[in-house]
Amino acid sequence: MTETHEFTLIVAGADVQTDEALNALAEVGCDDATVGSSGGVQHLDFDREASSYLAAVLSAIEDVEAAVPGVRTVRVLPDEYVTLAEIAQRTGRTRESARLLSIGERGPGGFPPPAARGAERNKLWRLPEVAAWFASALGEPAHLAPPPAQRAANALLDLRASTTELGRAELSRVRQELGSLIRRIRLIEMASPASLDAKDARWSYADSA
Amino acid sequence: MPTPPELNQQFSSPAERAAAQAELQRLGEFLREIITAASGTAPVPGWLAAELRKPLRGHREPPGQWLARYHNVFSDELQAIDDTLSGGSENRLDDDSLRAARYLARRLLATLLDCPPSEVSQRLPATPS
Repeated sequence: MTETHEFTLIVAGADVQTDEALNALAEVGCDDATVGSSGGVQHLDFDREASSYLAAVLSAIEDVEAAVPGVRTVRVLPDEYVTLAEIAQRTGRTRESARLLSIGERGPGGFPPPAARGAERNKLWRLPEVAAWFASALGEPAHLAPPPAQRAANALLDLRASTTELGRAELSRVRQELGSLIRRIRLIEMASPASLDAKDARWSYADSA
Repeated sequence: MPTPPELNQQFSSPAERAAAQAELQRLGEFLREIITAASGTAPVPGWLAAELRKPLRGHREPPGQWLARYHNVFSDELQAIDDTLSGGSENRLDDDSLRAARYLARRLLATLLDCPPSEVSQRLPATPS
């Protein structure tokens, strides 16, 4: 099952706004992105369908860098505008709980007004305003942290960028640490109940017989 | 649940962590005996032979075939536990890895013993062969 994931890629290097680059981006499937620049910083705002946020982000990075030689992704940002569903997700609430907060029927009131009004389900709020309200009204700064998948994506980009700047000894150390990290990830993947349930089903004599 | 239960909880004390490490070590030794028995490099230990003689969910299967099938299905997981325990003291497990490995070891043995993971420790002999 796929969902649409909204995110922004900040890119550097080659110009992604030339006709040639825009055509190449469209050809590799980046017609789900709006390309622009602000203050000299180039960005691509994506609405990408994928099975997960991380799958959406990583496929977008791969597409952009394949389409435009010399461009590199330096950062993944959340969209500045968020829906009630995203607010609910970021704050660990149900959508109904977030909706009640937004209309003042729960909590101390004073929730920021939507920054853009569409149909009821398509209202958008500015993330910084919402984050500030949760911090001041409810004392909940935790939701300011980006989602784990976004942190993982940015960590991968940071690591990739740093490898061209590290010396040989440092690279060797990074490689060792990555080896440990990969083993740790593999262990956690294997130990997930869903993964083990699938293996048990394979093992089950009743299923295999 | 995408990750092992209680994965993100911290151990409440060094003693609790040490107990988890000891349990993993013990369960890992039993799993290593399964690996060596399945590969034919060592005889099947008594406790495992007894398990292999039991019908599994009402079905009887030749013990050798039973063991080979188990080893085949869970070879990656068994190897992961073996690798984890082979790391030695210089490769100290972080808390998340320890919890994941212990949960994995419990589940692997629970499948073999056909019992809930919580009963694995009681079902096994005090020490491996």
